[in-house]
Amino acid sequence: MAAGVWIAGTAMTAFGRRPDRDLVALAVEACEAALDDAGIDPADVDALYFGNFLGQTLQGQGVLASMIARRVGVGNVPTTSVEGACASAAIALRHGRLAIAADAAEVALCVGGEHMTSFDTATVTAGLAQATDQTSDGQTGLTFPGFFGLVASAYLARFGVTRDELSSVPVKSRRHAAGNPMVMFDAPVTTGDVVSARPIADPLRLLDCSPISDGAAAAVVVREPRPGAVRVLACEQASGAVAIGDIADLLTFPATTTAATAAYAAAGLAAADVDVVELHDCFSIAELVDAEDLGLLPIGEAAQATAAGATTNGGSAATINPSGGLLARGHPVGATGLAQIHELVQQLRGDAHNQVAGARVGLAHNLGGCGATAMVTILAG
Amino acid sequence: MTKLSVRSPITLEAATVIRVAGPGRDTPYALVVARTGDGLVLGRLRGDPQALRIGMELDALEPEAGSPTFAPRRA
Repeated sequence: MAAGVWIAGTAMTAFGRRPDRDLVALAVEACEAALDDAGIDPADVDALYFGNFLGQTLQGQGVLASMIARRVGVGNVPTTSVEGACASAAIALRHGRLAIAADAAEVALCVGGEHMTSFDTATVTAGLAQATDQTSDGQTGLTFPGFFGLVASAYLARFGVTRDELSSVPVKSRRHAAGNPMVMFDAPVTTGDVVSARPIADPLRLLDCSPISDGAAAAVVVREPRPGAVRVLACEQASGAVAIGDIADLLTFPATTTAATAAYAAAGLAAADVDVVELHDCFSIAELVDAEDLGLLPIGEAAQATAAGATTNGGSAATINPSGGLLARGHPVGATGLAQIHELVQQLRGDAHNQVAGARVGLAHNLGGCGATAMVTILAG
Repeated sequence: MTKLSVRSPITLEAATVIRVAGPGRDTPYALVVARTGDGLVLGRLRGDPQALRIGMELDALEPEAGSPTFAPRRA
């Protein structure tokens, strides 16, 4: 794609329990803050893309993109809601980028949001399970914690990884999130805290799981560079199996590897060129599989590398999830992909809460379902 | 669709006990992924999850409520 595409501004709401705002209000708050960050008037927006997974299920509300557009004041521009489970927001960004590159817009407003905490855990868990194949796996009672519990059991057995090594993921996430007012959990945890937490889906415990959350995030995508803008080098999507019966190996997501291969090629970069990563750690085990799928760490070695501090800010490898990731920031599923982009833009501007020194290339990875879809975005400061 | 009958050999690829689930489902319950002659198959477990070891042989049992069902192979 020859045309240059830039992110001129980003924003996110504080993630967590937000009874003070409904879903649309959260999205509007993020949009207004992103436009302000970009220095762009709402009237100059040519298109709006909204990433969301559960709005129709939990809130019973459709046409959310148009509702947000009215409240933001962008006029009668085209509005589109996109759904790719937990990857919905990054897919919204991809559509904004495509609109710019196709000369269909000069300014695209991309936003993602979710409001989950006003519903009980069983209802949200059942809603999230819609991203599994309901004609097969759903019949067995598979949930998302259950799927990643299965992945964790296979990973620990195949690579001889200990429970304490797996715990190093949430311990690092909380360390990275310390003192960040925008995240849901900024208090440190120890390995002992992780292994003694309530069991959710063996071998995963509560602190291995991203929390049910509320929040929104947004990005303003433009064609021309501006002060503070970050260049989009690649924004690639791929799909993969939905049902376990169609998966060849539980310990890799072909959607991720395919999107990553395409993204590295589009950017003209390799994994070793990436300084900072925001990847989809919906569960602690997911961070390990994702890091290996993205080529950031050797297959089967991610747990030991994480436990040794390689992916901690200042470690020997690319820093993974300096924001605290989904485990600490929270995971309002339709918002996560753009919250990752917001963190990377802050990193590449040198303005992040947990700044990675000298960060010049950032990679975001957003996974939907049990690997049904994945987005890999590469940004350069 | 769910594969209700699978070809041997059947070995245990992964296992979990789900302790938090959606509405209308009693917890805990155990699920396993079996590597079979037909590829990976997700199913329910009949038996003690504590007895499972990754790589052990499993038997395919009569499906329960439309779901493949497995148990550790008896010695």
